[in-house]
Formats: sequence, C-alpha cells, structure tokens
Amino acid sequence: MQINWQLVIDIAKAVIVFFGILTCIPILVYAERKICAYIQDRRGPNRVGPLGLLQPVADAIKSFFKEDYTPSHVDKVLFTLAPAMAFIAPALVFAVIPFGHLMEIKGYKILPQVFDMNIGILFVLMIASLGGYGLILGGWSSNNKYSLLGGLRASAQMLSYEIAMGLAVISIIMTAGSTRMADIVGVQTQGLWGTCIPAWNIITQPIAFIVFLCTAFAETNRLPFDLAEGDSELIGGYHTEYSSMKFAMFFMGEYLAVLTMSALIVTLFLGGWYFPGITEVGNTSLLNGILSIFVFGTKVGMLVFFFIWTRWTLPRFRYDQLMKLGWKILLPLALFNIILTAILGLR
Amino acid sequence: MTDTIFMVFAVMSIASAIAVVTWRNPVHCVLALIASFAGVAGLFYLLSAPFIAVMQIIIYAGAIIVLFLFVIMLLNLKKNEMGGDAPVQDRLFTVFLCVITVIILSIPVVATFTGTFYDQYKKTFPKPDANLGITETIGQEIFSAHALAFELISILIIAALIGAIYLAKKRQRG
Amino acid sequence: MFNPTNCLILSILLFAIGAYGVIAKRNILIMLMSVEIMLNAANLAFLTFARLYNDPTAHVFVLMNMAVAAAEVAVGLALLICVFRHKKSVDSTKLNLLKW
Repeated sequence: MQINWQLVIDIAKAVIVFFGILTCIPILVYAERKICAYIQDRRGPNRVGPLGLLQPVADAIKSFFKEDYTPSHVDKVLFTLAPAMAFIAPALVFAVIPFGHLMEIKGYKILPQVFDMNIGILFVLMIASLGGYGLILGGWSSNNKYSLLGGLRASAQMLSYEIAMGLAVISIIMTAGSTRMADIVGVQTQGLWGTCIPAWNIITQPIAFIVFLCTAFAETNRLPFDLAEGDSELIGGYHTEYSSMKFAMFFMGEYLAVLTMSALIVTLFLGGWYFPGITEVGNTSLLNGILSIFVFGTKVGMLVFFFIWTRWTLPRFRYDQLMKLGWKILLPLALFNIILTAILGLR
Repeated sequence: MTDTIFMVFAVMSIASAIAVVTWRNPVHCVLALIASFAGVAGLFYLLSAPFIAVMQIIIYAGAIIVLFLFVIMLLNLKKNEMGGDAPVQDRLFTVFLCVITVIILSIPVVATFTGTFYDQYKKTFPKPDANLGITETIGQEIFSAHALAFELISILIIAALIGAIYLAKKRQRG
Repeated sequence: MFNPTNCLILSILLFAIGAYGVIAKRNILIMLMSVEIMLNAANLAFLTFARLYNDPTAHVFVLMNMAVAAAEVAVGLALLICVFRHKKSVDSTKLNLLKW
C-alpha cells in the first residue's frame, strides 16, 4: 500500500500545533503569576517545585478534582456548551498562522503552517467574530443577573471592537495586496527604502498597529477592557456560576486568546518569522526553518509579556469610556488610516 | 465525497432552520440560526464562493446574531411576553401553504435541470473558472461595474444607522 | 459533482421554512430570524446560478444582500425595542391599535 507522506505530514502538523499551543497555556499561567508578583513587589509562587515551576500542574490538578457543580436554575445545554466555545474559537485561529519558513527535507516540503488558505486573514476575522459567543452564552445561560450583565457587556464590546479591528486589518490587506497570510508576511520581509530596515507593518502602518492592539485587548477580554468579567463590580461576570473544569476551560480559553492575538499581531505587524540577519527568505534548509520558528516564538513571547505587563499596570475602563473609545476614537482613526493608506499608496 | 459533504451541510441547514421556527426560547432559536448559517456558508464554499462563505459567517454570525442576542438579553423576556405560536389550525394551514409553495417552485427546477433536454443544454454552459469567487474577482466587479450600487449601499447603511439610533433612543417627554 | 437541482431545491425548502416562521410565529424576534433564513435561501439560489453561468455579478449581489440584511436587522431590532417599551411584549398580535 502506498502511503501518502504529504498527507501524513499535514495531519502531523495539525496535531503538533494543537498540542503545542496547549502546552503553552501552563507556561503562560506561570509567567502571568510570576510577572504579576514582581510588578507588585512580591515573590509569586515558590512552594511547588523549584522556583514554583510546578504551580500550573498543581492548579490543573486542583480544578480536575473539584466538584463539577451545575446549579439547578441554569440552561444545562448552553451552560456546558459555552466554555467549550470559549476554548475552541481561539485555538482554531492557529490553523492559518504561518510560524516559520518553508523547509525541504529529502524532497518533502514542510511548511510550518497548518492550512495555507487563500483567504487566511478573513478566516481569522471569522473565528474572531465567533469568539464572543462563549462569553455571551455563558453569561445568559447562568441565569444570574451579574452573569447576564457580563454577557450583555461582552456582546456590545465584541460588536463594537470587531468593526475597528476589521478596518485596521483592511489597511494591512491594502499594504500586502493579498488576503493570504504568507503574502502578508512576504511583503514585510522586503527592505524599506532600500535599507536593511525591514518593512514591517508596525513601521509602515503605525496607526493600524495602535488600533489593532487596542482592539486585541478588548477581544481577548483582558484588562484594561475586561468589563465582561469585572470582578470588582460583577463578581465574576459571565463565569460567576462556573466551577471546576468548566471554569478552567474559560480560564484556558482566555490564555489561548492572548497567545493567538500575540501570534496574529506578530504575523500582521512584526514581520512574522522574519528578522534581518537571522532568517533568510528563500532558504529552504532545515536550520533556517528552525531559526525562523525560534524567531517567531521569541516575538510572540515578547508580546505575551506586553499583554501581562499591561494587565497589571492599567486600571479598568468605565463602560461608557470603553464605548466612547471604540466608536469615537478607534473607528474614525481606522477609517482615516484606510484613506491615508489609499492616498499614500504605502507598499 | 463532495456529495456527502453537500448532504451534511444541507441537512444541517434545513434541520436547524426547522429548529428556529419550532423552538420557543429565542436564545435557542438564535443558536439554531447560527448552525443554519454555518451550513449555508459551507454550501457557499462548495459552490466555489469562499469569500462569500467567510463573509456570511463574519456578517451574519459575527454581527447580526450578536445583535439579536444583545437585544434578547437587553429585553430579558418573561414567558408571557414572548408571543409564542399561532393557533394549531392556522399553523397546519401555513404548513400546507408552504408545502404547496415548495411543490410549485420545484416543478420548473426539476423540469429544467433534469432529462435529456438538460443533457443537451449542459454542453453550452461555460467551464468552471478557478477565478470565480476569489477576493480579487469580486473586488474588481464591485468597484468597476457596480460602483454605484456600492455607494448606494453605503447611503442605506448610514440611513439605517441613524434610524436605529433614533428609534432605540429613550425620548424625554415634553 | 455540482448539481444545480439539489442546490435549488434546498434553497426552495429553506425559503418555505422561513416563510412558515414569518407567518406562524407570534414572536417578532423569531419572525425577524425567519426573514434572515429566507434571505439566505435567496443568496443560495444566486450563488448556484453564479456557479452555473460562471458570473461574478451574483457574488456582488449576494454581498449587497447581506449589507441590506444587516441594515434591516438593525432597524428591525430598534423598532422591536420601541414596541417593547410601549407594549411590554414582543407578541405581534398585541400590535392592534389600528384594528377594530
């Protein structure tokens, strides 16, 4: 029987990427706890294992062994479905993110991207638009006024910030002239004005970068935009009624969303796997491929640090301020940026 | 293979559409509506319209349904405020009318697209084009031949925006 | 293989289901959702013919259709909120001021 090795490689890629991002979640949880502690002048976890490194394991075991309690007044089906939706949506985005340069080993092409879609960036927007459902449905199905308020806030927030995000992405599509993720990275590997400064979109599209960064915080539901959760005013917002693994799913979904958004920002604005002097374009050797994955990982790590840093530095917005920022500042700014891009023809 | 996928999407969209019109709880209906839209989006993808398929999800599931959910949660309806269904005999009559509609509309479709006449006629159809339905083709079509329609749509959306804000705003009396 | 009959029959079925929802339901929210199903059925028919005749005009039409649907839902739901403020209900039979 003939084995289709290309198919095997494709399936293996999907499995490896999925388990890879799952492995990143405990690392993120640990990083968040440690960084938060140092920002607040504490030590952070240091009891479980050396330097507290086994703390995420302890957390996981704790949530596994807690009683999975379903309150009697909830909508059972949606109550179970909501955490799953909150978890799956951000994981799906990784299917179209190119996290390395093409490698060629013994004639087999290995592209470090699960699915090279022609409409990759639109696929990302599509999944991002489904991301809010977990929160909204979790809030509604809990049948609790705080949860309902959390869900209501989540839906309005998603709706308003998605528009600004989409408009920021449109100017990126205009720069790249394509909706394929690989082409968007490809444009950024060229030198700017004939120098060695790479034409990363953060340099050519600073306004789009700022708009996208703000909307990324809102879409991942992190401080300063975590109004759906708002623990000081809404107890826990949409996840007030959740316990045990269902709560852990929401929790993991949030970290997964941070990871996804960081990877997306790296791909769209920070040149993806490209760094001048370290990775080369068109070099299909194994070394170059591994280096490119390493560069991508480092950039994502730095952005994740930025996300955590912001969370423990800025206070929460008020709800009317959030709406004002979304509709009156980010939306006109993104529209202005599109016009500017069209006039200047930035390529 | 494609036939199986087509059947899966078709059954998915029909079954969830039936769920939308039979279930009572609006939130459950909204979820069924998402499933229905997702099924139709899959069909669009099979009909070589990937851009429209993605747009279907972004616009319908991302914006329209979230708007529905927002309003449902804003109103927070009680059981007696929901409305419910028409009386049984009315509903049966409606089902009867719908079945008749389906039959009447199906007759020309089946008559046109089956049989020897269609086999003859099929040869005159153009070959499927790989460029059909990709973003570039649609973009070029919109901004050349249909630029006026595009501008009119933007006016419509602005009008809808202003109208919606005016209608939903709380008015002070006197 | 691509078969226009299946797609068109499916589109007709979806349209009929949507029409049933608009006529038989008394909840204005669900009536609006049924209208969306009918619009979707129309879009499906458009794209079937686009595939048949290889014509991207239908794709543009479907996009415009979606924009109109979005505008329609925004205004429709705003009206619904208005109705709810006056009647404390979303039952379409309660809207009988012009009837005697």
